[in-house]
Amino acid sequence: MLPRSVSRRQLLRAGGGVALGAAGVAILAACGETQVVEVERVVEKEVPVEKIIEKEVAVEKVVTKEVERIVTVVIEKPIGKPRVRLRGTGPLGTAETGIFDKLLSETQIELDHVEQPYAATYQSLLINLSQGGSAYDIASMDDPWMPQFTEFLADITPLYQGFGWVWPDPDMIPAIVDLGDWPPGKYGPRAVPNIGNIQSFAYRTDVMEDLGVQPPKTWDDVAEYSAKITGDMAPDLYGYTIRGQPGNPAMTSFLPIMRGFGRDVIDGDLNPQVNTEEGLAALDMVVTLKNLAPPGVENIGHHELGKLIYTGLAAMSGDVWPDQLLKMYTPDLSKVVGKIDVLPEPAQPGADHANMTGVWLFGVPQGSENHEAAAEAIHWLTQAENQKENMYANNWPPVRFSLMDDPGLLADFPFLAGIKNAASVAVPRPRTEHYSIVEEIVGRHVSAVIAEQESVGDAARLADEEVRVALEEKGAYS
Amino acid sequence: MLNVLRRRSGGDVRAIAKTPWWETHLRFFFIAPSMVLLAVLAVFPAIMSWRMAFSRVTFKLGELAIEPIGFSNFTKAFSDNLIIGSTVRTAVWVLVVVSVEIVVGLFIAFLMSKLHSRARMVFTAALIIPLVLPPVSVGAGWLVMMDVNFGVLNYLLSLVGIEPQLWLADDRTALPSIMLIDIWQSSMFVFILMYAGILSLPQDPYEAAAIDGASPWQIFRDVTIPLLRPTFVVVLLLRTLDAARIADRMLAMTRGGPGSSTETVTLSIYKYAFIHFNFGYASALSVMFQVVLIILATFYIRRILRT
Repeated sequence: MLPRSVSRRQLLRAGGGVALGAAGVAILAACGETQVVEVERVVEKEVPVEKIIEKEVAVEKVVTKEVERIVTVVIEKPIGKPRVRLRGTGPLGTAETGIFDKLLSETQIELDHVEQPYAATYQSLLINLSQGGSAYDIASMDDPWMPQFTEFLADITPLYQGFGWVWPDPDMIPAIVDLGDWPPGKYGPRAVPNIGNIQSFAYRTDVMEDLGVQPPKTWDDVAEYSAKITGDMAPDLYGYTIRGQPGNPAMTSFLPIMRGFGRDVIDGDLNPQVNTEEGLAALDMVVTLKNLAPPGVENIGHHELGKLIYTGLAAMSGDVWPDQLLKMYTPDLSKVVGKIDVLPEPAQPGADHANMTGVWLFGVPQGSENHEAAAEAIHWLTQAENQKENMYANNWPPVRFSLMDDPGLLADFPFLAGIKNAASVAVPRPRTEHYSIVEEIVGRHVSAVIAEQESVGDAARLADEEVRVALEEKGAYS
Repeated sequence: MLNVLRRRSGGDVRAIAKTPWWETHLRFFFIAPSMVLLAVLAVFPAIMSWRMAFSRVTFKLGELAIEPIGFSNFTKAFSDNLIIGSTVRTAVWVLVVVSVEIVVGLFIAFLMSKLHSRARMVFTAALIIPLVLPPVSVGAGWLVMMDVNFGVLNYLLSLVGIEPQLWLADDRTALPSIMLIDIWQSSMFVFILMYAGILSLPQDPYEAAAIDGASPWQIFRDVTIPLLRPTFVVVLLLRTLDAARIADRMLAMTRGGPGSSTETVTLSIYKYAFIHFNFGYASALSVMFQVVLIILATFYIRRILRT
């Protein structure tokens, strides 16, 4: 028999019907709430049994079919605390350490970590937070971003109070906690610190001993010692190293020098300060130190700078961060294990030491639909035990007094004492929502000075002019 | 409503069915998802970009404040030293990399066309490897190789007694170094197109040239090159547009430095948009850049149609 022909219309109707049916099933399935029910199902198979009864005289064949009853036992257990799924970005923890599994088992909070590079994290957070989006429930943010983000974050105090927790936590370093409150007192605390990153001045103790000098206290000391080291030992060892890539890298190396000369890149009223006596002296110092650095610093970033020190090619830098220190203390990588110490940044006479903070803080976006769960997860992640674990797994310095003095941690991370000292004089980058603009412009001109593309005078003048124009356009002076 | 008619053998004509409206317009239903997708992903952002180009854009909680300011963003570009420098650099970049890539790609394609078929297969497979690598990975790899102190390139140079080079760390050599990488990678794209072009050329002109006693160089210059003209124009169009939009390589290798010596127009636009958060100005720059590329593309497409 030939198959019945199907017209196009019939095919479409049938296809449409199937699609609608499938969509309906999918919608119904999606609408239903998932409930975890333990079901005990006892199924006994239907077994035809053939019984043959033999007798001496007659043979009778009896076939019986036994159908056993199917027993279905449904045991409903109390569900308990429902599981909540959150999404976060920025440094939250490392899945390999099992921290997220532990969070789930202890709090029923499942945390999806959206890992992105630094710049992408910043961009996606700015767009999501400012637009009130619900893409993220937890935002992990670098402290210079806070002035831009605080107004888009939920207030931490009532969230913590809802659980009966105290905020601010008295065990956390107050200067670091204050980074989450900008402008001070206007919105209230909007973020909880998690990583106590502090920039520090690192130097080779063995080289200082060979020179017969005390560790440098001023930038003039640094220049003097660097000249001796480079003069005597280059190309095997150079005195100092600095980051020359434009923008954030060059600016991060330059800021402690500029502050060590007694002035910041912008003042309290956001007036640019590079083209000042102190700014010009700081730029001159950059040129001096660059000329005593290993070749190629004009295009190095964070990782390359660390490598120059742990491979034993550079003796000092004022732009060293905890993750680089860990490498310097790792025997498989480093040629300088046990020969590095850290200090507060040098400062010229009369100026303050100014180590830079690079603290990461957790916040709850206002657009999130899970404020309470996010606060609970943040509280859990920032507990001492988890911060300690992060120190071991990621070299994220803690933000708690109790851990800074922890004998076990100090034994395993000898540089932690130096970081604690650096933290005592640490200051954040200029607190303005326009800092990224200032950093890009000044960092570009500092890079040009390092590459000898611009003179010190031209770079300072152009940097100040461009910063002023850019901030005027942003309405920063009105 | 359309009536379907059928002429029977007897000659009578009658309507046998009345097609419903949705079947008549069925094609629109099929293309609708693509059109909606295109509108959402391409047309809407383009319209927004043009609107922002004439505006001051600020972020407020839950909204994007767009305040019209006329042509200010456009006039600003003509006095912005960073943009003027980036534009000149981008023009030099396009001119150099596209020219060299065409010469290198054509040369390799010509050599390959002369090889035995099995050798051709092996070499073609090897030559397209750079083409399938993402530019950012290529940039990261070459960054390590070009490291002044630890890179393999300076190590190799030291073996033959040449001083270490600064490569990306010198503002005079940084852009040429990145050009070298781009030429290494993108010449293979030119090669593929040129190679396909050469293989599809008619053989008659070659036979005629051989009978006339033309030398190999004369055949290449007077037969191959003129016949390949349409391929040249297509390659020029695609490579010019692609080269002009370069930013990822610089971002991965130098962040536009040292200073601003490797900063291109698209990298500047990116910085204005995502570091300065000046979306109005960045949109105006994008619009101007878009117009320049459209003019260039139109010029090339006219050439293609003419040939």
